[in-house]
Amino acid sequence: MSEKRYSICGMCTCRCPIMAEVENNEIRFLQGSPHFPAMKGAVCPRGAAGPALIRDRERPRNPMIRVGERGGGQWREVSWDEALDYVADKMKAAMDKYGARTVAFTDRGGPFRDMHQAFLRGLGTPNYCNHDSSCARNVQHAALSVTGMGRKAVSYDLKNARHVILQFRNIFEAVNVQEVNNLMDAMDNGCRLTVIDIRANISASKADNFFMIRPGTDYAFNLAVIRELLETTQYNVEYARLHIKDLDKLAAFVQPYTPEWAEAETGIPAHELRRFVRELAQAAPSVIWHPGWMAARYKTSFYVCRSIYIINALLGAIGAKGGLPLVSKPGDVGRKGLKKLTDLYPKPEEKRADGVGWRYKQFESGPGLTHLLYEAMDTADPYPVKAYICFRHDPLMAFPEPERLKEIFSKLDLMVSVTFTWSDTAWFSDVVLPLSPYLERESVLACKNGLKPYFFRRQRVVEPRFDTRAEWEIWAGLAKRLGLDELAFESAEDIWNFQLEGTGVSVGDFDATGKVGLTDTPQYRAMEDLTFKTPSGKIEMISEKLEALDIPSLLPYESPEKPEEGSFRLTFGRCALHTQGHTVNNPMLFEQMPENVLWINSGSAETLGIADGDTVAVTQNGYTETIRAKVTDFIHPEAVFVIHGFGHRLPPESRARNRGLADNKFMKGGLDIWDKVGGAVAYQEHFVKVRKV
Amino acid sequence: MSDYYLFQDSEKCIGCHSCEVACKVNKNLTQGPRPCRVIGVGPRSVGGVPRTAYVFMSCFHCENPWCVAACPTGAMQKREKDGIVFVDPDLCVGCKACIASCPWSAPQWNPETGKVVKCDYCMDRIDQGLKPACVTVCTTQCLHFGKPDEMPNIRQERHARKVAVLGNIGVTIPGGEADVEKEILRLNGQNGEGSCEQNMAEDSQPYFPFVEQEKEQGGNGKKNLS
Repeated sequence: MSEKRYSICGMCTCRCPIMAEVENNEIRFLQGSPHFPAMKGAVCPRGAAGPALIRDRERPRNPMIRVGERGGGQWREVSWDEALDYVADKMKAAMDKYGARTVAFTDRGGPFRDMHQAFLRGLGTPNYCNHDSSCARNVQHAALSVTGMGRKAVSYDLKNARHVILQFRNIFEAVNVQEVNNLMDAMDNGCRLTVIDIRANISASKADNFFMIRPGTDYAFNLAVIRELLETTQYNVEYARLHIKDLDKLAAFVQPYTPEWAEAETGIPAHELRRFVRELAQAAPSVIWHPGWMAARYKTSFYVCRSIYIINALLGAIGAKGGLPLVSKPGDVGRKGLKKLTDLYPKPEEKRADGVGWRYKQFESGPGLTHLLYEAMDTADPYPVKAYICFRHDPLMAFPEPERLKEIFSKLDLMVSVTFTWSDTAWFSDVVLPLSPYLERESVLACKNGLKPYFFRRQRVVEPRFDTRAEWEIWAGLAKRLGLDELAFESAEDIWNFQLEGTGVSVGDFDATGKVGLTDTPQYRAMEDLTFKTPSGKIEMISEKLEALDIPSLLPYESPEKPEEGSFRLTFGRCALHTQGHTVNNPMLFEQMPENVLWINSGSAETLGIADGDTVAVTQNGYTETIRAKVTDFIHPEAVFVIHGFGHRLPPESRARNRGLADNKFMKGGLDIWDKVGGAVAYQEHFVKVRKV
Repeated sequence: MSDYYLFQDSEKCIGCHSCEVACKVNKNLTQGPRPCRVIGVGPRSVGGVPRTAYVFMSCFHCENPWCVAACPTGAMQKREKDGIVFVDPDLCVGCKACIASCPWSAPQWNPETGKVVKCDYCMDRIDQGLKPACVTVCTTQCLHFGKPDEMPNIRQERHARKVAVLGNIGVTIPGGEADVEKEILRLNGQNGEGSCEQNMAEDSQPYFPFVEQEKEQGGNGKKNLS
């Protein structure tokens, strides 16, 4: 007899709710949770390939300690006790010598962080970083600078939207199932979709408007949109009067940026921009100009994200139904939030090694900036960082210059990778602690803030088939060995009970659907009732915080570099079939897409004698890889594009090995090229040469 | 034909291949056989925007299945009660006669078993009152499955919504009259540049995604429809 179990997908960071039918510890069927209407019972292809992940033997199946050189691939399989003893001893030795602050930890963010953040606090180190400096940091800092609130203080009310604009987001290709369906339903009801991108992605192939923009000129386009909205009084005057501060300064600033001027920069005709602005005004305030996910693109992408928030504000969309309504937290609906494990320990007083919050006062300190953590590892400035735990994170695939990073990691006394797939980073570590894949593990309970906030649970769907453990088991094991008895939990249920204390919710409440709602009705707020967490309580065109640091709130436009003849700006993105590097070796997903291809403009390809399907060599600074060319009219001639995550070279990955190209190896000096105001690495500031082989 | 109808609403398909993966996982297949597939054609420029067609293909479950006729062992069968064409692996000897006979390559070779595997509409699921795996997990739910007379006619309904706005009958547009005008403008190509007739042609695009393109190249825009 099969049993239905509700859990949370872990094939990417969307964390879609899922339902598994389980019989005799085998998954009979896996689909989206029917208790979330926008899931429609669906899963994306990665989610559908979850069972293939747990069946795959080409993943770390036992704890391993390195023997021989770092990265040499020689391992000793050990018991969990030996592995955890080894890690704890090495951590202790490093902490005895350099203090607790010598421990650093990186992850990929998300809602299941409370226990390991508590673990770090318990140790007394401030050096927790998530991967966000390779992702959405610019968005976060832009949101803070405009609204005083983080990017997740608003939700994207796609279902009720009347016009959605995707610029640093690709909803129909970098798939979050609920977002896809909400947007699809809105479009069925007449919502328009505009895509601004350097190539025609899948979202563009569903769009009403597609603007193939010259790479790096998004800011020019957006400035002209702001100017046009103001100049023609198509912005929301009442909303601006109530909620926007220093509109006059914004108006003066954008004066030079006419649609005609923007046309010369972006290649998008002025009359098209004007028509598009009229459409926006017609749909306002139910407009979502998505502020972006992966906005770690250019050195000034922060200002693009800022301009997006400003446009949303001018349209009255921030706070509006069908726009970007403010989310509610449990407290906003009269409920108590989850009790935090992090509160068991005081916040460490040490300065962060990455300089965030003291050397770089413009940045929010929470998740830090990972690339600056690596700089500190390299230079021991401000202090030595010698013990490093990488949790579900593969910086050698995710950051520029992996060879330089390896030199930096070689200075560590201890490098631990906690992972459910092989990765370059795991291969280079001293210890690999094999994580059970999401279908075989629990996580701490989590809360989703939103129009209707709720608690949700990832539970073990089947028992682990190899000698792998859930993250809480690993942290509890280390906590026990390092004297943090408060975290030495014996079961996931004990942790959940701790978290639920005082909430009025019990663990059993999650069994029926996997979630516990905290309110029945969506909490929209009236326009008059909106408040923002800036010093003025308004949406600020001029940020006092930035100005006080001599950082302009409104940055004058600078035209991006044009590639030389035969050179192209290297750009990358996501697809539905793979999540960066960690799915490429999944048997089902590998079959669907075994390698990436290089998108190159037809005109450029013709000049270089490249035909569709040809093998081409891509070169930068003497480094070369080969890849097949996809010759198309639908990419800007200044750019080439690949799906990120390919070019694996590891022996244990028989399928993914030596297939496709790794974009991050073509970013010489890239660890030092980053957005000084937004904080994110600027991945798209690199150029490559392409030739036929 | 089987008693069932599997309809792909191509306007909603995003070519994610979730259907293919779920099909294979459900049938416990390794690399190689693909009982259903979505093949993307495009993008091409259609009326100034890029359009890609995603074509879903599995098995048509023919009225007179050539694969059944070709099968020498009786492994390939048409189910009496509902017309589903399926293969009994116990009887299949791996001769590939069915693969050779099918005009659409529906039967697939499974190198692991040395036998044929094909779309059977997940008849074990259907018999439990469920839908095929591909339909169940489809990200946008663009795949629909059921008895033909019980299926919603999505294309007609979508078309009706658009036409109803043009006539302003029985359709409420948020925002009232002002928005109705905007909506009409929108459907007429924003600045009144396009005619209703063109919009009707655009409505046909989900079925024949490149009609507009061919019109631009000198065709009459109707030839695919005839």
